[in-house]
Amino acid sequence: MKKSCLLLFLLTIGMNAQASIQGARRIYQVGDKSRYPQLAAELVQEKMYFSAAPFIKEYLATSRVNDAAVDKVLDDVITAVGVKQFEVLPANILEKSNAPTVRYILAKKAFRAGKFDQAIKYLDRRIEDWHPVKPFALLLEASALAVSKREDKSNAVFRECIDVANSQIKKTDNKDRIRQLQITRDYCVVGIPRAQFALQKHEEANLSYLDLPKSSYIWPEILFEEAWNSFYLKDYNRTLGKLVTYKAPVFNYTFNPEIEVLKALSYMELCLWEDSKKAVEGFYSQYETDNVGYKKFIDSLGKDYRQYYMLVKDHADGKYKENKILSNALANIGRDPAYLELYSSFNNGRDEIERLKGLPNDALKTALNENLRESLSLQRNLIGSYVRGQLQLYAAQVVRAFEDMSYIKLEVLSKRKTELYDDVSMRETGRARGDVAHLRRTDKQYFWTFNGEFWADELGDYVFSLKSECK
Amino acid sequence: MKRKTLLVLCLGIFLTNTLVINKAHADVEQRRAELIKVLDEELREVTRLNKQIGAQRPDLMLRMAQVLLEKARLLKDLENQKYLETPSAQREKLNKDQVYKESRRYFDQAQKTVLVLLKKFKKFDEKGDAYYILAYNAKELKQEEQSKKFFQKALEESKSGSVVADKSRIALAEIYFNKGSFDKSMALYEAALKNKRDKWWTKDAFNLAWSYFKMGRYDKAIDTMTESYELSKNPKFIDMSKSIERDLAFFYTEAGKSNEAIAFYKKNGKSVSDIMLKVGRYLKTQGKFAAAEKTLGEALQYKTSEKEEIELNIELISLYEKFGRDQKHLETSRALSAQFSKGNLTPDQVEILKFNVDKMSALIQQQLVSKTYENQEKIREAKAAAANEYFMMSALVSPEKAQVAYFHAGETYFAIGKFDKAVPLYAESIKRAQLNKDKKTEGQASNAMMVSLGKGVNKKTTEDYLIPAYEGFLSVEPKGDKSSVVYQRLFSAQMGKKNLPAAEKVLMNYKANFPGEVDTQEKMLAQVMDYYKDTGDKVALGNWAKRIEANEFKVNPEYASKVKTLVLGMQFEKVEQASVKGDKRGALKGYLEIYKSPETDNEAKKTAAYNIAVLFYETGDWKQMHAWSDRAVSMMTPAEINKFEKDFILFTTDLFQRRQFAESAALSEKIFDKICTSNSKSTKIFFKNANVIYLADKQFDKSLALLGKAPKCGLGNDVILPGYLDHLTELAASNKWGSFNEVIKNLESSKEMWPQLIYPSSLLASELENIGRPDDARKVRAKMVTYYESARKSKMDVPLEGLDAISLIRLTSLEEQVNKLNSMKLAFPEAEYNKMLKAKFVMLDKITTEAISIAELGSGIGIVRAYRIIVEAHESLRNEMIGFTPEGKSPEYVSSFQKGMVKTSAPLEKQAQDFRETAIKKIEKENILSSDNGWFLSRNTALIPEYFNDKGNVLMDKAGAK
Repeated sequence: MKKSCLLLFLLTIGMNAQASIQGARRIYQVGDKSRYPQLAAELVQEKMYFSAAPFIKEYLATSRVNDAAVDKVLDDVITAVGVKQFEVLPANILEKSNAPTVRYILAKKAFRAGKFDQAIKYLDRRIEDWHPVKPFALLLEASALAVSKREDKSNAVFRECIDVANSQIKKTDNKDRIRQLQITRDYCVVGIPRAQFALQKHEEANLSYLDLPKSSYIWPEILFEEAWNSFYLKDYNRTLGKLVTYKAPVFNYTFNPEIEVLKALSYMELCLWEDSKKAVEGFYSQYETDNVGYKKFIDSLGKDYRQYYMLVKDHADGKYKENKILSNALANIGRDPAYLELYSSFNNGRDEIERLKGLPNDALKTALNENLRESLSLQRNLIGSYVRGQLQLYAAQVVRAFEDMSYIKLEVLSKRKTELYDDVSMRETGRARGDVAHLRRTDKQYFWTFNGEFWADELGDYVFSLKSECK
Repeated sequence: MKRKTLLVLCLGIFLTNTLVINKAHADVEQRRAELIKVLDEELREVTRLNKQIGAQRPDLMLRMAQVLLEKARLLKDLENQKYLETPSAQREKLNKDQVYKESRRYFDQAQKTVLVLLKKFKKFDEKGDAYYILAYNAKELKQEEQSKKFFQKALEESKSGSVVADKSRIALAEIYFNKGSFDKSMALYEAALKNKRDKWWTKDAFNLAWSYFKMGRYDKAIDTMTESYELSKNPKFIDMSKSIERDLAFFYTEAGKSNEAIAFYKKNGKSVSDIMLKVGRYLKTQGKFAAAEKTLGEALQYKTSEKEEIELNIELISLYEKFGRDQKHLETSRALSAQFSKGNLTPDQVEILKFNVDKMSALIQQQLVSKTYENQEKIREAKAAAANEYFMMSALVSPEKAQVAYFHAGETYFAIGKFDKAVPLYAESIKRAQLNKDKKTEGQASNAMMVSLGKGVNKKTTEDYLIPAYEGFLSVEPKGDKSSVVYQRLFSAQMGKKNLPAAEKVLMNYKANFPGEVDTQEKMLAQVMDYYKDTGDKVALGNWAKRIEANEFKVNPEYASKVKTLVLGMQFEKVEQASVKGDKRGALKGYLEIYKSPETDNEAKKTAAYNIAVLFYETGDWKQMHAWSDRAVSMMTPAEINKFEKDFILFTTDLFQRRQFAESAALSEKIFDKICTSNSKSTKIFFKNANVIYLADKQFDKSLALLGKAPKCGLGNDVILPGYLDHLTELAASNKWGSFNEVIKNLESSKEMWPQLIYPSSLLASELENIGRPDDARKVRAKMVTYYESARKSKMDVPLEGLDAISLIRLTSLEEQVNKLNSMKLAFPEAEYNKMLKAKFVMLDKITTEAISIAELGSGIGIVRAYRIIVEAHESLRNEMIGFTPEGKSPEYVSSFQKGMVKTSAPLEKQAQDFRETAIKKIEKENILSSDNGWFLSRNTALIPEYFNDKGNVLMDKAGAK
């Protein structure tokens, strides 16, 4: 399940800014920490979310909450700075709040911990359909249900998610928000085939995947899943057809070593040993050396999140292009919705700096400065951490891919041996390749035999027509 | 053209086969090379993977070990192949460690890898796999116990139901199965085969079924086998159907479910007989011959084709052979031979049939030769017939060796004395041998055939085969040791059949092969010419004569001459005809011409001479007869003389009767000389005649010379001694005492002659006395006594004249004693008288004893004379006693004395009378004719006139003395 970042739009609370700064100063001057929620609320009114975040966090950590007003402030702050800023808080602190966003964070944490029931339970308290976190919560809940193999319920929740998202999309004209909602909706769309896939209902999943339009932001990554599904349907020609789509120039940014693995695997299943071995060897020759550099590079960065934070940006500025893995990984991260959300939040936080400059130099300004520096620093670290995590994930994926490739090759060799021992393949008359008679399709599927050219409307619909050489 | 096509076809087939074999070989090589390549890739991949992962992982180590083991096995295959392809001489010198070095290296690496893995990763959850490798490694190295231990370990360490567990079970099961521990193999297979995990299930189930079967669980065995059979139809499984079809029938059979077996095979569209054939074969391989025989025998009932029948019979025949089912073996051999004739047997089947018929024929032949059934004639004949049949089958299936089969068949009959049956077989053997150019067998058969023909075969066999036998023999051995004789026999046989062209051909062949055997050639020529002579074919005869004259034949000159004579004889044929017709003059003229002709040889001459002699005999011209017979004898051989002996006796007799003693004797001696060494009975006649006539003609020297030759001619003493006696007698008669004495001296040297010499010696003694040489006469008589005593001791017969002579000598002595007795006169005084009388009695007694001893010699003269002497002696003494009158005594005394003397002398009278009667009895009983007979027989009768010649013998010659 792809991680998604939640960013809620600031709700209108009807206070003017100047008044809010003054109110904030007054509350701050009192020095009463129990009034930090009001202080934060005042700052929220001034769109100073990052500055407010430390106050509300401190309050959560040190006080008993159970207050709708506090929950509201939390919702506002979290919606603006992103869940990541609060995910770092321990669950027992977060549990003090009933704010839908906090519940969402808790559910997410539980989900990550594999506590799916717990996750569902956190989300059980009703969140209104209009609440900005609702589509995300539904996606999480459906996912938890799906993972728990409660297919009917999960499908229903996924569909609800699609509806709520579509409903919210209609009610907003903020582009970022629309993108977020569309991505969330699309994840809910593929949530259904994913659940079916998990339950090995590949035929159903095959159809359900087709519900995701090619125009979707996530379609490229889902195409890979479809390829897998076709693989499980033993429709290896279609698998290969889907995988070849990644060769299209528009998908240059895509970094998924598993694509090559699946390709090799598909050839293997077609008993096209040489093709399979070629895929393996191609992968090794393409990435083996780079992987060494890639790992060295990551290791050299250690835990310096600041540097990680800079990588994507630097890559966008033309750096790190030599190492294909690194370059692809950074390109992929740069397109990653989660990263984009984090980065967007960080940029918003930087806007607060300007605003803070306009305030008189007093204790509040000092405190807000400190808060902002702390929040942005955290945000930057979060971004760095995310990038690091992704890079390490990719590194692991590459290693895993190498491993998989080797096993595939070993398997191919093993099968070749069996053939040799059984003496079945020595006297073959030749390989008949590319015959449409080998293809299968459903009503929803088109197929295009890949002829070396990519056409936008054909992407994802290519199919190979290789004859299995299995005896 | 046809041959060429055939050659091309054969070559094509050969090349195709060679290509197929080479291709298969190359295919294996290619696959092995490819496999090694793949394994090398695998090794590289595992290494690369390890590097990627950056740490040793047990699963990769395991994989590495598996690949190493696999490569080791492939390399070993390759090394094995190379090793076996090395010529044996080089192979012996190879160091095996060096040969298997490479594979060994990989085995070791695999082993080490696994051992490191097991040491390093004690909790590795796939330890079973690791142990499996160790087990397999050990298995490869033929460490059976170690292998078993590791398989067991692999089983223990692997997860229940895992592939390794099942594989280990299967491996263990196989070990136990091969060891015959079917209870263990059964349990292991059962556990391993619960899941039909891989294609080998059918094969392993097959073993499980066998395990069940061995444990007596027939139903389970059949069920398992059936299931394996059904799955074998599925291409995903190893196809065990052939083995199952074979063994299932056996299972059914052993389980007593034959009907189910038939149903099973019919259901599966299989030929029941075909399956039973396979079962039978299998049972044979398992050494279950009785079961195999039963199965195969039953299978014949279900046969569906001749091919099947042949295959069944092929299997059965070896079983019948093994178990001595002779009759069945013979029947099966017949059936197979019939199929062979139809050309339905494969080359292998033909070989089996050949082996069986050859073996059985040889076996039976051996039994017959070793006389196993010598006293069981019926069995022996049946065996011989069977052997013969086998040999005929052998000849059929091995036509190139048919001659050997026929020869052995002949030998078999020969061994049991059935020569009439053996001969035609030998003849056929010869024929086949000639066809197959087998000189050796042809020679053996020819020899054997000739020997057989000499074993009293019936006439028809002889007629049919003798000539072929000879011809066969000679074709093989035209110049052999025996060949000369065989040519002669063949020649005789052809002559016997009056097949002159053939006989002449034999003669010519003989001449060509035995050019040095001139005599035999001559004989043959003679027969041929005789034939033409007898048949009056003068043209042929003349032609042969011309050939001989032209020196075409190396005949000896005599024969050549004979031929000339023959031709000449033919020219004078009229002479003989004239003789037969009684034209003696014409005949004589003709013979004389032949005799005188310079071209006439001795042979013709002697014949002519003889015939002339005969003609002169018939005409009474003794001189001419003697002259021509003498010539004929000179020229004739002893045999020829013998042939005409009667004629020659007639000639000599005629000459004797015509008082032509010298001619008669000379001719007799000449004939005797000629036939001296022959066994002719006439030899004695001519000898005696010659001697007698020589003696009659007083030709003592010639007689003596003739007598001297007699022993050399083999005449015995029975003939020679009378000759000598005649000679001595005639010498005595002619007063040739010097010669007489010489002859006796000569004869004396032989003790055998002694009894015969007694009488002639007595003549000599008398003559010596007559001429005043009493001492010499005495000496001669002493010798006579010695001759006699020696003869008596040697129990040799002494002629009667000899006995008479000895008796006379002793009688002379006896008479002297009687005279002495008589000269002793009685005189008084009384005491002296008595003394004298007593002495006289003593003397008389001695005389009596001597006389009786003389009488016992057996001489008639001696007997009668001896008795006469003692009778006279007794009577003389009695008379002296009675007649004695003492002087100076009173008459009373004298009377009394004389009375007393009468009484005292009475026994003397009686004794004299007894002797007299005894003598008379002997004279009568023994038919003694003696001059003293009259003294006894004519006593007191008037004197009977007697004529005594000077020599005391009775002249019997009516013709009177000369």
